[in-house]
Amino acid sequence: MDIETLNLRHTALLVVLAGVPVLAQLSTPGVAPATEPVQDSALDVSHQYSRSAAFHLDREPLPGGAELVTLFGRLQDPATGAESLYVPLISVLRDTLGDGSNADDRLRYVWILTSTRPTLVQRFASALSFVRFRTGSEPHANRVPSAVLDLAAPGKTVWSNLLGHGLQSTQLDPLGMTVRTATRSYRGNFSDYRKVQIFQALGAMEALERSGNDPVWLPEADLRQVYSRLSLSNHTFGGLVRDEKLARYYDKEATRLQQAHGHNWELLRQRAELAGLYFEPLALPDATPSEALLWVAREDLGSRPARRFDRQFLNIANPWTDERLRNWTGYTQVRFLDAENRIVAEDAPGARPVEMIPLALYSLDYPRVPLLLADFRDTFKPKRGELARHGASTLLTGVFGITRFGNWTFFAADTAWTFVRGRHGAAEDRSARLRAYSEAREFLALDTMLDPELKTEMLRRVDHLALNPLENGISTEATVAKEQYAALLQYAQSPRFTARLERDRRKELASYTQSRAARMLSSFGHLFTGTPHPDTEKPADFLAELTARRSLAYHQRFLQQLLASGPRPDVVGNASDILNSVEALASDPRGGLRASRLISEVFARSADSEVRYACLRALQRSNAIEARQELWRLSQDPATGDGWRVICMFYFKGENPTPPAASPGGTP
Amino acid sequence: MSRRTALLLLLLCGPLAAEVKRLVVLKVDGVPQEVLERELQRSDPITRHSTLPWIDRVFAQGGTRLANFYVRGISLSTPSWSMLDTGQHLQIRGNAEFDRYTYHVYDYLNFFPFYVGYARSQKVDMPGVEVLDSLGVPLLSDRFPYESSYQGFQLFQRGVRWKTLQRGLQHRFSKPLRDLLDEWTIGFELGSSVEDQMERELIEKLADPKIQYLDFFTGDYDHVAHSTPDAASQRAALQRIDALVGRVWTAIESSPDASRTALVLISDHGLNTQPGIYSQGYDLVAFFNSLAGGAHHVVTNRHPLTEYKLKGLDPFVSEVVTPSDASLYLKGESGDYPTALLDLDGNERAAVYLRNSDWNALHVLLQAGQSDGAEFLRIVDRHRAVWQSTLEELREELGALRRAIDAERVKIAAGPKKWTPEQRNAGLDKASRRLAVQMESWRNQERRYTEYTDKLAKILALQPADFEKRRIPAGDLIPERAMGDANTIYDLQNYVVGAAPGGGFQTIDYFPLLASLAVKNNVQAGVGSHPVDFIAMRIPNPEDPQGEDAVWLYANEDRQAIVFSRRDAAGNLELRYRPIRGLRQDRDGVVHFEPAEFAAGFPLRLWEDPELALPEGDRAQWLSGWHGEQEWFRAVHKTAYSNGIVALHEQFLRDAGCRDLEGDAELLARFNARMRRLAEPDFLIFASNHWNFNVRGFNPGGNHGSFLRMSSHSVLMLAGGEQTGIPQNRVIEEPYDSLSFVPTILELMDRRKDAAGMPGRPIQELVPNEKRPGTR
Repeated sequence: MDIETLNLRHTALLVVLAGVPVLAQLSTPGVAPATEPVQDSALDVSHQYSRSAAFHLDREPLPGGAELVTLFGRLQDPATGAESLYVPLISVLRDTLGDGSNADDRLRYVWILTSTRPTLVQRFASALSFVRFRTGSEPHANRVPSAVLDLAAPGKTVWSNLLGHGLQSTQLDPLGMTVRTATRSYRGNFSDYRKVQIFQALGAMEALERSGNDPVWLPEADLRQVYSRLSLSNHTFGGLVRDEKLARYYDKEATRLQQAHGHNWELLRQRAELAGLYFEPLALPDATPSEALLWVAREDLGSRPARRFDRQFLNIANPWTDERLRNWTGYTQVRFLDAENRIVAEDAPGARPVEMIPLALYSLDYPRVPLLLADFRDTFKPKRGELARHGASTLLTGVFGITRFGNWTFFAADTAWTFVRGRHGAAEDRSARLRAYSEAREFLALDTMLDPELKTEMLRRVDHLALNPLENGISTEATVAKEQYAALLQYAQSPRFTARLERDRRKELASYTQSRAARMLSSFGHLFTGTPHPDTEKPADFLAELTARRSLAYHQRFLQQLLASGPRPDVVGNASDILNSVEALASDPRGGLRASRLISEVFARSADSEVRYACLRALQRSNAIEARQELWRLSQDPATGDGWRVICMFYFKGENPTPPAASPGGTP
Repeated sequence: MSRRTALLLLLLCGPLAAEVKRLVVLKVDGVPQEVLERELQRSDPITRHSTLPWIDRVFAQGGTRLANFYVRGISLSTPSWSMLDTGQHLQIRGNAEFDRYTYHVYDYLNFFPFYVGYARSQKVDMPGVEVLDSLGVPLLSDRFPYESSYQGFQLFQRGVRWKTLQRGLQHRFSKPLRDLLDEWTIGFELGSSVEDQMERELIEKLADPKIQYLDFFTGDYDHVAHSTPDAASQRAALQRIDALVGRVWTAIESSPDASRTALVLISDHGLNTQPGIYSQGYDLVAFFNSLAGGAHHVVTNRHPLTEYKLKGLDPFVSEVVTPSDASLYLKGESGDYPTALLDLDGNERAAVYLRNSDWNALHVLLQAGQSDGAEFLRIVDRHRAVWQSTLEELREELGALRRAIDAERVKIAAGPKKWTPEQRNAGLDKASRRLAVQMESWRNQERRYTEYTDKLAKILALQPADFEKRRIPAGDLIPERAMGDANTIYDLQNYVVGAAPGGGFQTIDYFPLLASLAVKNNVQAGVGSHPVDFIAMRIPNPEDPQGEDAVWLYANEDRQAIVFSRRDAAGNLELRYRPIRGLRQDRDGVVHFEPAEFAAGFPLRLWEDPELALPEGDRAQWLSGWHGEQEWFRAVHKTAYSNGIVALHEQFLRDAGCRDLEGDAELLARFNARMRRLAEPDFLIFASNHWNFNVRGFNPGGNHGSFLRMSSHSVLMLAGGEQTGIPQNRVIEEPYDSLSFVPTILELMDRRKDAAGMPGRPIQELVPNEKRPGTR
């Protein structure tokens, strides 16, 4: 292979890799600019909701039997304190097939509306590892955003990411320092940007869940599915986690976050107490505190010059010996405290004024320790820390080409170093830092309780942590979100979207009826022949078939989960829901052996005679041979019990014995 | 009726009599009745069943549950399980205890040393079981033949089943790759592997008709609720317990003898947790380290802020010294002379052991190098009679201990060295190893108490001339790593912390000092700024020096109370609550106080509590009178401090002593009783509502350890097959406490003789009078 060919190959690889992070956001259904002017009227939904709700969901019906579910957050401009406005944050496509049943609904694409495609300047800057600041952006008013996730195929991103990592390590890293540094920086920035956007979306969804504002038309399970899938998309193999594990993952995540908040709240309060400082937890309405401020009373500064100060966990300079605080001219706030140190109104009995100086803002999201986000005496302190870590990483990985997985000695040393530092309370987890940072930004954008002047100060300082050239400011993100939402709505109303929806549905139908290998072969065939998929079925037949398939899958999933949740489905689940699913499975011949087995299993593990008779009736009514086999098996199984075996035999023979009055013990 | 007819009738009635033949106990650590009931009543919006469908079905609809079941004593795991597992009065009073003479740490919660010791054949039982064995108190599981019981891993555990651990891990990893990948991404839970395996084994054992007793312990809820008050997270933990109930109940239903099997769900204590409120910690280690707190070198059983130290990874640690930079006379001597021992486990209360104040004084004097030793000897003379008596008694007891060691050695040497599988199955190998462990423990005790008595003897032998010869180093006389005798009230009101600049001693009055602790940050509406609620301490009965000791409760100088106790003619306990103020003790031991009128704010806050259920009449009059235990219990159990008055008596109650024993057996029993006394702290500090004293880490979710109703209100539910006689769909409102559990079970199992010897009152609604001995 000559040098020219090699270079050509590497250039091609570079181009491919540069696109990988973007491609990982899935090929956008119709990324072309919208041809018609964007209409803002669709955004005017805030009037429908209580002004106190920080978040709410809205749905927009779409042609072709789908709807766009969008999460809005109430934003307040901290600079002006102007009237708050609702900003669309996340949209999810819900394919309802146009009927009123939830059983055949399916969630598809997820768009994070604050996330935008980078400009050319941003792309270029992100390849320069020394550019550690925002490089500006322009709103993309006429572009449909890229979907961040396809809930029907969450595993897609895993393979593209792995491919990206593999190519980086095997092909680009050996090309020398310049290429290695540039490509790693570029990919790192894209990855970080995506994470920040996802973390913001997760924060909004958590707040919605806590507020209890989720509407009846959207099942809680759907919200949790979106949350879990988004969160898992930040893990290397997260996209491969199966649907049945999502509920457990969600519970674990929710508990973990609540534990982190409580732990850090208490750690920071105790350290503040020990240091003689004032602690103020910050929270959005209905949520647990996710941020906290530390203050020092001006009156205390004179009286405690010799006080010992332990900076572990606080990570700020000793306030008791700091001349800057004695001559502080920055933001202060006068509070009134009673004898018990509670904040009270100015005219409350015994209220005394205390002038407070803000010292630092912390995130309570970071695992195990509060994370310093803003130091009011040293604006660049948190940024310096980030820059130092980034510099060290660039030097080792980019310049020297030492990676954790390419050098076992380095891997061991790095692991040990990270462990020891983490054990002593250092914030070594970059992903968790990004999450803390993004949630703090979101908090500041959505909060309506803080003094606007203080909020502006905090925002200004937190913005210094924006090291990613791809990032946009909050107000730009708000503008982008509104414009992208409008573009998305416009696109979703267009025939192109309807056609896309139908293509997706046909693919989905194929997944029910064809094996994976057959579908792959078919796709390859179409790729080479260039012919479109043969959509031979009439639309009405096709939709009826898909509805039936989805409904069947829904009822199978329901019964499987019920059976997995405990030994007796009739105790854990609602009897009418069980009967409904059993009936649905029995009445559809497509269910086959799997449906018969499920019904049989429900019979075997239920003690409710009503449920048992319903299962037997269902098996008898089903004409499938598998159903008859199950009836025979049950009638022969000693575990069925003598009385029930006789009844099973009756049903097997086609007789229909009259069931007695329901007996909870399961006796026939 | 002829005798033959009567016998026939009896035989016919026999099989029809309700009786439990097999018992399955699910021990759910820290589940509060309030939270369980809240979730039980909550309807799941999707299924429209209870959030806890199995508990609802098995216990609420199909069984009996007690609406008012309480911890008797403080709401801590080790003491509470010790009562539930034995049915006897408290012998273990904290999750950790320290011996004042030898500094031995009874670390009841640390299972690592036990497992490693077991692997090295140096241990056979958890530390709590060892203590109970030394006092001759059997566990409920001991009442069943070894081969007929299956015990899960828990605090009061005998032996280790390595196969459970091995199979638990194997099961965790022997899964399809896809499952492992999912678990790896979501997060492995190795801790639950053992619990899962124990559950599998329990269900397997249910199929064995020989097994009569099975138990299962889970600390899952307690762990979650300590870490977050979030209702959803706690609900998820309760739902895991609910699913466990479902699996076990279903297994029982399909097992032999299902109709005579009883399933019990029991918790050791509640947990003071409230959604939206974080429990706040106060660092007592820092307080006692500080000059204001006495500048003590403080010993705890775990590292403060364990999770932020590499040393915190050491799972074997049972004693950690946090030195004080401010120490006035022991700077740099924290290793040899710690002066405060704190048991902070349990968190809503702290047990404080301070070195005897006069020992501090002696230490200060020796360091000052007094020329004639007059002051030193004056202090010694004040204690001479007591110390001499202690010395003589201890020497007698240690003599008996040495003889016991010799006898044990012979016994062990005569025993078999190898065991057949049958012998192992019968637990004989463990019984033999138990003897060896006990002998080793006795040896240690003999060595350490001898060291103490040697130093004590040296002090008592001192003459003024000894001080003239040379300057005596403190190390020659003051035992290292020992606290000496417990402090009196006088000692604690005049606690010596160092030499005063102008001569004499610097002293501290700990009671007002601790009560006045306050914080700067008061950020939660439901939480006050004072972490200390009240202090409790045993005192000699100030009204009757010959009577039972009393318990003094101190909230502040004006709000104090004394809980008096006595026995009526039938030996039943009677209690009296007396509000007082300004209690002081003279150096000679005489206690002075002023009586006080009932008002709001006295410890336990009974007078002002709207839930106090008293007969019509004067509240103050009733409260200040003598009442039996049952009367008190019924009157106070719904108040903010529930059965605090009874629990305080239980906590400070002492064993009546060795009865019907002679010779070495009596001496050994006296020695064991002495060791229990020496493990008692000087005083207990109880935290205010939503405060805690945890320093090991953070427990923002909630805590327990106090008498607050949320912490002491536990769960007891029973259900059984049709022949067990356990009523269905029944809620018992009558209040019962931990002591009622074992006798109730024994009566249900028709072991009436065993039950008759128990101090607790069986649950009458479950065991009607006609089933009692002599009434059938």
